[in-house]
Amino acid sequence: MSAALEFPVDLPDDPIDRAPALGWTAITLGIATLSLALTNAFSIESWGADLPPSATVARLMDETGHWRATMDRIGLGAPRETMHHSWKSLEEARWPDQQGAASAARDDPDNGLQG
Amino acid sequence: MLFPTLTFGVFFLITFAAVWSARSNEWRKILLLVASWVFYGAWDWRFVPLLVFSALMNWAVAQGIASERFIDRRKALLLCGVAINLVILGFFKYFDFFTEQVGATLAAIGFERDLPVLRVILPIGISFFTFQGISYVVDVYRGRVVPARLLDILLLMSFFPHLVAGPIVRAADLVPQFQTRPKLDRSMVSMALLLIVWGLFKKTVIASELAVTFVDPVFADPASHSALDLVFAAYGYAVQIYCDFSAYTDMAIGLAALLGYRFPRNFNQPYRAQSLQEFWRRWHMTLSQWLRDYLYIEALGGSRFGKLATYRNLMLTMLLGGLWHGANWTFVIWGGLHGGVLAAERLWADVGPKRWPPLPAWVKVIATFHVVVLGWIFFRAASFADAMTYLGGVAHPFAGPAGFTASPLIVLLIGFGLAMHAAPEHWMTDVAVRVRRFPAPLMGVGLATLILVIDAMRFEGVAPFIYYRF
Repeated sequence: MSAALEFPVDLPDDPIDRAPALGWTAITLGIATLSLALTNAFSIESWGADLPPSATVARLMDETGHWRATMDRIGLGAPRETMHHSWKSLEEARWPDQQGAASAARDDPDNGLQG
Repeated sequence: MLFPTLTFGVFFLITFAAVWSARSNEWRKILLLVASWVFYGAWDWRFVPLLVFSALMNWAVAQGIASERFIDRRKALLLCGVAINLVILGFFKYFDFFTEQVGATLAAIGFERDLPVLRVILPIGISFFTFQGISYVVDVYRGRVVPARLLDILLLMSFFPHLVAGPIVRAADLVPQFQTRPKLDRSMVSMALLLIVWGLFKKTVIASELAVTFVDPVFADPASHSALDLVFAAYGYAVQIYCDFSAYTDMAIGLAALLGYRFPRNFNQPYRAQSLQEFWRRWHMTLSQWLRDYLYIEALGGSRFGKLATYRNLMLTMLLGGLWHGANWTFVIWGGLHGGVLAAERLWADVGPKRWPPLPAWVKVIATFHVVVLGWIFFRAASFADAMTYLGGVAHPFAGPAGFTASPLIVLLIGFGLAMHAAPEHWMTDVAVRVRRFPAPLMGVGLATLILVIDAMRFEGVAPFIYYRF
């Protein structure tokens, strides 16, 4: 097995690797973090909700809730929301015979879910 | 603290900033060590001293071996070090299992006794750091590595990217990297980011969706599912466990690379293997190499004592490999199946007719895949009885219930998980070679976009990685 296969992060040589890359990496991570903070406020809010409850977490949840509301108001949360909605539709799709079974279950008078 | 969570993301960004700000390599390693203990302690602080003790013990034994001139004493120290590692592993992992087996045996022969079952909590990652410790003392004994400094051994065994589920990184690979201050280059970072994003996708989208919506319900109650469901759930589990475990190691390799360290590859499209021997060269490669080097060759003698001994050693290695996964007969059967087929492959190569035309590659791939899937049924089933119910349902397709509960998305994900094994072997390297020339802002926006798409698709919540419990 070649060395390139043994260590996946070893790529073929390139002159670009002679320059230090810490700054390039830091800017990449910084921009990615900032972009996600703007476009994925939903996940930040969900993260706060999953933390063990405490006074600090309650304050944090207030802040993340405000942040999400602000991002949603200016439309930055819309791309994630649209993609998530499409994915959920795909999750809920069923084969034709499964839809029949699901309808039959819904129409069953013995089904406890029936109104 | 699971990799695909915001908590870990914040932890990693703080660690990244602190480590790359450190002025000396020693401070850098101390910061990494503290970060690793925080990471491990986030699960259960009580086991951090166990991790430290294990590293201290292996460091002291290795120092003793290196400074001892008499071969008998060196060997005694080696045996002592290996034994302590095995006692630690054995107590936490197998004490209750063996107590229950002894109790059942005594009851069967009429000597029923109340034996102490301690309900021992299994520290996560114990199998991985114990194997790392054993390989270190054996390598020092064999002269393959020189004894390392205490700080390096503490960090080798505690380093958080590989701490809880591998890859098993040996001292020979990692300690030399600790001895000089690492340097980042764009190639390493590009590949690291791709591995992290790809791992995030495999774990949070494919593995989680398959597990929660299809595989878990079918394996929980195989008797009430049709044969078609059972077959698809077995394929689904094959994809789930690959996407779950390879995702962890992809992310571990990527995270270590962002901190400046290189980890070995652990998976290489395992379901395209044409034999079980090849499968083990592609699946959990660092464990299979560990079992080959330290158990099959070092402890059992490998193929040095004739053909029969070779077959026996293959069987024993895989049986113990099965037991390594957990104290359950289903794992032993899984290991026995793999050991039996590996021995049969070797026997066929030794005594099979040489003039027969070889089977087409695709036939060998399909046959190997189905042997692996059969093994996964035992591996995943809660008990031997459940596994037999499962296989009974597959073998008698018209005796059980009818119907098919997998949704189109599940079928699509299983197909995608299998199809990724037919992708060009170096596709990710080719992508990394292109993106390393991107300017940082473009790279940052691209990374954020990919993570946003994955986050929109991910299943709610994050289940622990399957290999956390091993």
